Amino acid sequence: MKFDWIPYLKKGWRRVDFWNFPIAAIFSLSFFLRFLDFFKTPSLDKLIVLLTLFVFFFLISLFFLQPVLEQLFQSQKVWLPVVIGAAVVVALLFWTLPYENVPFRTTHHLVVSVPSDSKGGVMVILMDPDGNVILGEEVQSNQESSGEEVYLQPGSSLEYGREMTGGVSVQLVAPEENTQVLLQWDQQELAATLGAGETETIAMDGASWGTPSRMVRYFMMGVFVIDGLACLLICLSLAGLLFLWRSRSAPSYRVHLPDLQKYLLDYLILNTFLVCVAVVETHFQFSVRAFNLVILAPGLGYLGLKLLYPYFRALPMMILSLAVGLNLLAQIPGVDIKLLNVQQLSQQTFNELAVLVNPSDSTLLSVGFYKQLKGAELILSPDSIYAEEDNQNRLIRINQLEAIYVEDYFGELSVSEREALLRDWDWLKWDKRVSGSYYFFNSRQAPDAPLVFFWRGDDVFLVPVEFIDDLGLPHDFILD
Amino acid sequence: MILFLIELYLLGFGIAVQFRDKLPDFLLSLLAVLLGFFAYFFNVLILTLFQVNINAGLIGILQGIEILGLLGFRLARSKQKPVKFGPSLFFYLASGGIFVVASWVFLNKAFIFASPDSLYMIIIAKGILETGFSQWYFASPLLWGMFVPILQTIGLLFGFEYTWFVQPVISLTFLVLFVYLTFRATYQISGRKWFSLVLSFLGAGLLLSANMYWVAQFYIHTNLNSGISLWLVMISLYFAVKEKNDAWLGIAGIFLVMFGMLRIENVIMASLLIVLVIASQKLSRQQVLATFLPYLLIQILWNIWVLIADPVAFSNLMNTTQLAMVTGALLALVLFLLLSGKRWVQEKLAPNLNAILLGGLLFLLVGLFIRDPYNMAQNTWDNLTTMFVSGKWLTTFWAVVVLLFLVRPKEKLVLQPVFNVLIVGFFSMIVILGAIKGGYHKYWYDSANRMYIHILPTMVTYLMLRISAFYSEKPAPRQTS
Repeated sequence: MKFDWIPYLKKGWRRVDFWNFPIAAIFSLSFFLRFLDFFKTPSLDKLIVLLTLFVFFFLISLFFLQPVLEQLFQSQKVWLPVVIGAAVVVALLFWTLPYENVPFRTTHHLVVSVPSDSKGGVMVILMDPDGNVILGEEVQSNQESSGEEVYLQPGSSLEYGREMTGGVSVQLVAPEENTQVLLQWDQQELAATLGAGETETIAMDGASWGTPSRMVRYFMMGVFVIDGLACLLICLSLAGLLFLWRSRSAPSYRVHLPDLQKYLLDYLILNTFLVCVAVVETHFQFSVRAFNLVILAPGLGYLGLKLLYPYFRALPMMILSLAVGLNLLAQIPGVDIKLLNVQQLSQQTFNELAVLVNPSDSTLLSVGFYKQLKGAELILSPDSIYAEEDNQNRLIRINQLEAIYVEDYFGELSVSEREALLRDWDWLKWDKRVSGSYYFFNSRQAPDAPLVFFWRGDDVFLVPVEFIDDLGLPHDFILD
Repeated sequence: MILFLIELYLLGFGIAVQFRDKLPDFLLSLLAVLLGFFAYFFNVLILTLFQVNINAGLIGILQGIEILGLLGFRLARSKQKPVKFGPSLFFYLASGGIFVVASWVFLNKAFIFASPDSLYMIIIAKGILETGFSQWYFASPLLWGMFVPILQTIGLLFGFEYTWFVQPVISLTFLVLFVYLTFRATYQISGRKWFSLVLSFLGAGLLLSANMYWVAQFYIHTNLNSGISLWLVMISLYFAVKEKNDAWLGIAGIFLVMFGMLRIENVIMASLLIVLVIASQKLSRQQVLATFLPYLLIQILWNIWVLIADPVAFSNLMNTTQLAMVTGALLALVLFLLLSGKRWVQEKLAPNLNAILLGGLLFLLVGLFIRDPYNMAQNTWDNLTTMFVSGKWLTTFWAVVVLLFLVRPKEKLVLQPVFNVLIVGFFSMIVILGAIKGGYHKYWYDSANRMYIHILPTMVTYLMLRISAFYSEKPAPRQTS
């Protein structure tokens, strides 16, 4: 669909349309502050994110909000009472409901103390808003600290303060006795009581005022005003919608620049989706980094393409060619973006393939001896890596009997024992990854008896218990 | 081994020539490769279900009989119309020759990409040859379809420890088919030969240059074959409607069976596709029944067998209760197919099916989000990051998604709503399965990222159609207000 938007826009633009600029500015700033990572986003990224939001809200305002407000303000009798009414409602809302600040960059101050009448002390670990541990040396305390922890005895305290965005998390561990702990975070006071051996993590309020710099203080006051204006606009829009719905004499809702709206509808839908993704990502904090720019910038890029498209007919072919070209450039040796590689195998054996795939030890073992491991009880020495919980769980998945036992036996063979075993007997062999092998004794069928794991270095020996005597290996650990 | 592969090609040739009256020889010569593998899969499946021990000799003899039977049947049919031995028969020779040479090359140059799943599929193949379908170890039909494990038996029959040379040959055949059919489709729309050729090669380039696609060509797994078979179904349906040629429906029907037998969750997409085609009202009731009923019956019978066998293995995607529910849904779909010709379905239900499906998907997504917002949000986030950043697709999905939004065809394409809803349905399915299964999406090697390849060829072809419609020299239909 070819759409010459430049002449269309020139013809259709009116003076009243300029009101959408301040409306978009208010909404975009308020939205960025309240729902996205404004304070975590680096400065240049902030500008781009703000621009993407501004453009988005500008178009939303132009296409959907402006028709409503225009109808409202065209009615001489109604607009003034509505505006006054909306202002009163907003004022009441701000007066009665608690105003929630967003976490912003300010100097926070934390004091953690243990009262002198407390029975025991407490271990304190502080974590910054990004989840990194704050080292003991950065904390002021009358107690000794080493590494990540500070131990506070009764009657002692620690202080920590610096400029940051968000709150610290305080992990408290009471190692021996019941302990009471007092925390002061900026102007807020908290008390926690821990039982012996208990651990508690308390997240401090990141939106607490703290001691901001003068510039930040004025900025946050501005945020308050912006929030108020945004609420006012929302109230006016709702009032306008109500007015349209109820009034019979008002002209019907008429979109200004309908063809442009139709043309940009897919951008608006796409960008709404991206904005939702950005909000959800910010809320759930899937990553410590702020991803707002990465999520929202493509929307702006897409809008740019939409505007270019009617005047640049070859654009789709150029994008296709560019994508293929970039993909090919990525293959150039030296471009380090960790691509996957196809391997060429020399022997084409299943063992070679398994070693190439490089699964976990227990998976590799199972792939080699799946028939044997499936239906036999497995006996592991506590020193064996297969006795580790993760490996046991993997083996349990393979072993249909779910019969994995860790028995106390030596497990590890001597060098001479290993050599003697391999010299005289028939083993089924399966290579491990870099070095070493798995050996399975004298059976290519599923065994009836439990399998015992021995090892020497990187070699692992699987021996059905019935053959242990023949091999000269002790078996007094096997319980009836 | 080489002789066996020649026989496989001849078997595929025997099936392909049944369509010779209505489809071009060049196309059939390429399809013969895939049809040969498909026929092999079917033979082994049936023999194993009847507990017949598989060996190279038996399969060779059986396939030989089938080849003779198919060619005999074709000759018998052609008594009414003489068989034309024209230059186009050269295509079969060339295709068969290239197939054999390529197989020999890949046999000797053992290029491979594998993961633990590949190892498990090879073990299933060994199990099939040793014990039929009675012993399962790491995985069973409740995790994967049997197509890839049965293909693995090809090498095992000839003393190899697994089969590494079949996947690259299938991939190569697909690439040539992709260029040819995309060219055919775009040329029909744009009327511009060189433009359509460039477009087809760019589309193939977009696929091939994506790192994940490149390794998938050598990967012992189900994903690329799922993408190939779904693409063949879609493109065949497209041509069936566009050219009003029923022979394409036969191709669609065959590859729909292959698609369904590749992965256990492919039944969801297959069912969605069937419903969408009915909703499009582009095929008559007879055509719908002839195309889709065989797949549904085969899928139902297979599911019933799995339910009866109740295989026990270490990994399952579904349990038997879920499989029973799926089978019940398939029976309902059969009923719907039978009723699809009724007036009330045609007039009241079919025109609204797309909206109902999209509404249902939205309802499900919102409901799952309300149930567990964090999980759903994490799933969606992981999907997006693997698709556009970390999933080894490079810029492919960027280009495809942006251009699908950007490019507007001058006139509505054949089966356009089917393409649109199928693509939306596919990605919704990924999110929904992730919400139910958990742990589906995070890394490039996880199922979800690999599954994007199922829909990618279809998306790229659809994109090419849209682009060619945009550049079409034919006048756009007049808009009436």
